[in-house]
Amino acid sequence: MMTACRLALVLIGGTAVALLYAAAILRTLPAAPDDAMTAAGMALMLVWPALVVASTVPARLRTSALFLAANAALALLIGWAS
Amino acid sequence: MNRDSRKLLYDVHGWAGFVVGIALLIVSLSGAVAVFAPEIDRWWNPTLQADRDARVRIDPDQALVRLDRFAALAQAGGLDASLELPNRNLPGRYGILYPSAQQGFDYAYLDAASGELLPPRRNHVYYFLRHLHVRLLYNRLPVGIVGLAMLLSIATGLLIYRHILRDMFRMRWRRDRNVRVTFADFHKLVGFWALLFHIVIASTGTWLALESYLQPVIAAVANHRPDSVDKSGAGAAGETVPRLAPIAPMVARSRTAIEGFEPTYVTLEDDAGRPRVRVSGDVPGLVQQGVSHVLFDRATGRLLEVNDVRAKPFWTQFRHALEPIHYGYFGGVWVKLLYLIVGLLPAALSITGTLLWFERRRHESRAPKAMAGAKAAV
Repeated sequence: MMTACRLALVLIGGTAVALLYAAAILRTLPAAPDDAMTAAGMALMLVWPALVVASTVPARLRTSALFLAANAALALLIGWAS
Repeated sequence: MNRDSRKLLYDVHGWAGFVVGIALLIVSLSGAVAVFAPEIDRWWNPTLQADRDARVRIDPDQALVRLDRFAALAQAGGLDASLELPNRNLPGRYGILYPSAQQGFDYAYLDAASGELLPPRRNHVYYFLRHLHVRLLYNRLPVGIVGLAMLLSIATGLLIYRHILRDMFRMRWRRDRNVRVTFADFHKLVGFWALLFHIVIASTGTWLALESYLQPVIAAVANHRPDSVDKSGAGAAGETVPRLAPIAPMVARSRTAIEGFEPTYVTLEDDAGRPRVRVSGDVPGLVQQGVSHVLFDRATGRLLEVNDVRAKPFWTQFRHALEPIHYGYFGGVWVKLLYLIVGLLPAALSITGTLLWFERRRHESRAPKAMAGAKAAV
């Protein structure tokens, strides 16, 4: 049960945060919309597995959640702060 | 990393490989073979076989007149009439795509030396291979899921076997042990040495497969409004299509307008009421085929626009580099051969990974029984 919860957290949370990073790139990259979308998409393809896997490493579920939350905050800062 | 995390990573690695194993096998095998799809297509269809050095005596205007019936069919079917010119992938032939009642779409070909209309092609092996690789004969979504699973397998594999990075030059393939060790060593060696290639292929392929699904999601998260389409200068509906200026000078002009340009298609298009002729083709380097183009006014033949992707900003070049990077058509036959060989490796990893996964599960289910047996004996 715990493993299932953890897997759901890293998959759903990792996907959501990776989407935030992609959106941040789309918002900030000084390029034509189609070009920026490709860059955002490629970033998504590389960031998503890295986030999902990195968030499975901590021993405690809370640490994984914190790791994802910190990344979400960073993505929001990059994309929406300016 | 503690034991639970390690077990979870192993499980994700195993399941990601096992669940999509067969699909990954099909996608990687068809992808590896599809690198040579144009060559296979020519070899299997006598209609497409022409001497590479044969002189082109028929110009595009004469070709279009002889293929007029098919061009009319194309336009009646809602397609822009698109004439394929003799090029590296179609030497000595003109081709045109048109809707056909029997097969949906078909091609008509003309001999570029004699002007003779050629018999229909025997099969569509090129399109079959591409359709299998790009859509698994269905649509792009399952292929995208296979790509995501491959990305996840790579990431988990990297973390599980991160010590390999340290021992990379000391790794051995122990073939004198049992089958499990042989497979495990092979899996690790191939997985490690082809790592960069697999990351590139999986990330570009997954994005190419999923872009139409993910673009709206990313745009919505970014609160990005789509650009309004410029309709200025659009003609009124029902406006008569003007006469067509000679195409051959346009094709000749396109060669000088872009350095190293090989024109491959002439398309008669009507972009929001602006009838134009688009000469699209290939340029050397890491640029998607058919994206560079030169636009001409349909009635006067006046040059309207030159689009050389190599002269565009970095991110435009990046966007149009993904496809050649994924399909390996940027560096000639040796790069294609390399892609064929290395492209078969994900299939090998899929097979060995699945066998190892079964072996591991069998071992795990046997271990508690053995332990219970040992305790009973004591």
